[in-house]
Amino acid sequence: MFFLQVTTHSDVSLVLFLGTLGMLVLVIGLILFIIFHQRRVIRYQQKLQDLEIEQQKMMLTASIKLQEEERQRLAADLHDDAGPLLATARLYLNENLVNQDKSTQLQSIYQARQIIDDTIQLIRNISHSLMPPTLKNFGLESAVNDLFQKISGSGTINASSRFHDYSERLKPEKELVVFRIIQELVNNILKHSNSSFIHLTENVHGDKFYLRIHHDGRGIVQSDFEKLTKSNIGLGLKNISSRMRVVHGSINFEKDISQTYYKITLELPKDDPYES
Amino acid sequence: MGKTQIIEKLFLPILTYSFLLPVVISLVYFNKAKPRSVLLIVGGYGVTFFFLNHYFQYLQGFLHRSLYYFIYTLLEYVTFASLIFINIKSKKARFWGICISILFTVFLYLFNFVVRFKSFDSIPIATETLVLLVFSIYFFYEQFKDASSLYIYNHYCFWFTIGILIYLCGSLFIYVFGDQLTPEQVNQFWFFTYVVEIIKNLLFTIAIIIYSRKSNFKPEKINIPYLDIKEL
Repeated sequence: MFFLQVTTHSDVSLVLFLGTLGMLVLVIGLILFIIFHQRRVIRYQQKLQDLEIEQQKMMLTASIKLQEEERQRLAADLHDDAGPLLATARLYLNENLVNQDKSTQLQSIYQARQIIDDTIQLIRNISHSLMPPTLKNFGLESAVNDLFQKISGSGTINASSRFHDYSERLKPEKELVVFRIIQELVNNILKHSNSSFIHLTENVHGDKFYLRIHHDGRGIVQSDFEKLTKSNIGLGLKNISSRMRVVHGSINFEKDISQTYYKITLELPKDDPYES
Repeated sequence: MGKTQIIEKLFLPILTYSFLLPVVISLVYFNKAKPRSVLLIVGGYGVTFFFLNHYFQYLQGFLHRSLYYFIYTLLEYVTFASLIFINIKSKKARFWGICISILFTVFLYLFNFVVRFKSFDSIPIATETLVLLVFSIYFFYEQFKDASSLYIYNHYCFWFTIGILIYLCGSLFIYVFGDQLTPEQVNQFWFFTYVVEIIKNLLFTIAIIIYSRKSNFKPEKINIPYLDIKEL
């Protein structure tokens, strides 16, 4: 109210000048602030969008690359193993067979049958590795136990699994995703860690489903995992990361407090009970 | 008459005719721009205030001073508030804006016809400035929140708002002190209100052009050939 009580002419002039100048500075300052602030916000949003697109591109590339690798492996298995076996069986069953004596004929037929049996077993193994029937028919627990038994059976590493509470199965789609993640993690451990044991445990706590994998070899911690998923290498880890997102779960890599082994924890929400 | 006085005296006719500039631009784009509500508001405002300023002396003698100022301030407030309101999306904000506008109108009526002011309605103008300042800040706040909006200066209402702010804030102190100024001081300072008002009219013109161009924008037709698979 002081400014409204001025009486002298010079006071009025000064107040008018300063007041008007102040208001104009305020308005122009406000406008400039609004413009520059908004430009900064838009630039930041654009940057986030670009990063997200880049990340999605990387995930997609990783997914496609893995798919191609899988196809190449399958093609190699069929070409290198099944192909020569069937070709050999064909050799035994050629047209000259009718000109040979009975015992030679019987021997050729028997050997061809043996080769065909081996081929059937080979194709069965390829098929099981693509989609294990145990998973579909008996669930995640049986499929994981099966997998760990086969690994243990090779004699190179001690692999065991224990499901504490799997009375209510997850949905089939979720079981498949979790099984693939476990397969990928186990493959990575076998390839890179040089460990002597792998142990998997399963627990349920409230509405969350937990899977923990322990191994005593060379491992990674969570910061390494995040770095590798953002880089151009680590396709398998990117695949794990995107699969976990599909099931709305999380994965944590850590070294145990005793510093003797590495622990990988998968946490996902429980579904409604699976009705078979 | 000194050179400065001549220049100052020129500002009034320039101001008067500057009200017609947005009107002319509105007429040019009238058929192209849709919806036309903004053009009608600005066009009506321009024409009305052209006449109010052009026939100022005659109207001052014809109408009572209180009535003249009441009409002038009310029309100005209604125009500015509606230009900002059109672009405020929040229903709650619009409701409160209408309530404040009703209160302001009542206050304006009481001040002009009940209170005996000396020569100028300073207090209603100060109140109008504060109210429109609040509306403008709320409009900017909504624009910030809207993640889909592009640069704010691409929005036509931005130019209306800064025109209103420059005019009201630039002339606030002169109008507030209007009652206390001597005729010599009025001659010395009053021209500045003409300057800021001319700037406001220019910014309104820019707003109309941006509004008309945005509403006239048609996305390019994508030339994808029609492929009928059955015919293959």
